[in-house]
Amino acid sequence: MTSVALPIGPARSGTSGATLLQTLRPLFLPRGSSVSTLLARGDRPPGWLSGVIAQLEDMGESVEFVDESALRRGVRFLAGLPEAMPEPFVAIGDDGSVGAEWECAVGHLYLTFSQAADEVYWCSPDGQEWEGLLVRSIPRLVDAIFELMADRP
Amino acid sequence: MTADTSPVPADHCLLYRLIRPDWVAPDGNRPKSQAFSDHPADGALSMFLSDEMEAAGKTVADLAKLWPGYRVCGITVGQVRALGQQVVRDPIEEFPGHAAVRDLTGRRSGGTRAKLAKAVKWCE
Repeated sequence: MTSVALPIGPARSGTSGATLLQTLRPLFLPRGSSVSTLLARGDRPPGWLSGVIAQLEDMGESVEFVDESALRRGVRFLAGLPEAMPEPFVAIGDDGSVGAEWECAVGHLYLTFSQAADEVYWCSPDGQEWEGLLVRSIPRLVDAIFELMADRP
Repeated sequence: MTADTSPVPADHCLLYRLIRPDWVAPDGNRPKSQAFSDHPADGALSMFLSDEMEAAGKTVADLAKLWPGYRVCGITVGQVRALGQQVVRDPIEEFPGHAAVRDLTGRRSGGTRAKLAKAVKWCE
């Protein structure tokens, strides 16, 4: 059984999660009036964040092993997403890694936070896919996030 | 645990994976991709081969009974190999047919986990 106190506030500087967020946040600036209404308001986390954190805490109680560093990076990343981002479904793998997935009409985005690496995988409905390290995939990841936000009902 | 020397599983043989309740996607249609991570103890994905289960007179229902609350999904050995995975028999005491599935690159990518999650079918 693993109990982990998860961060819900802003990321502290000096962590890889914080660095990634600092890189990502400016990219969520409006890309024109058509998307401006989709974007985050200030530092307010997505409305689903507390529920997702509760799910991860419950999962953490029942698994053999959780990579606490990966868990914190994952939660910080989710907390930094725009408020208009749809809710992901999350899970903890046997290896202690943390995953977050979004699957809808515009595609499938799957993020993994683990001891080995933080990764991203995207697959569009027509089967076009790419994957890579999160820190090296930021422009494509931002495009994917915008697609998912635009698809939100 | 050392793999035995029995024949290499055939492509048409089914591989079963036990899915924890919190590994089921919200719509219930498939497991979450995270369900296909390696276990740190052996660096492999734990699955069960249908040929050995059948030889021992065991069914999917027997497998599910052993781990209450889990669901069972299946995929052919050929499909798993096509995703760059190696399937090795790896007997355990609890149930016949146990196999260790490892990525040939040494590490299963998120894309491969996602493809496994979408390719499996529920066996109920």
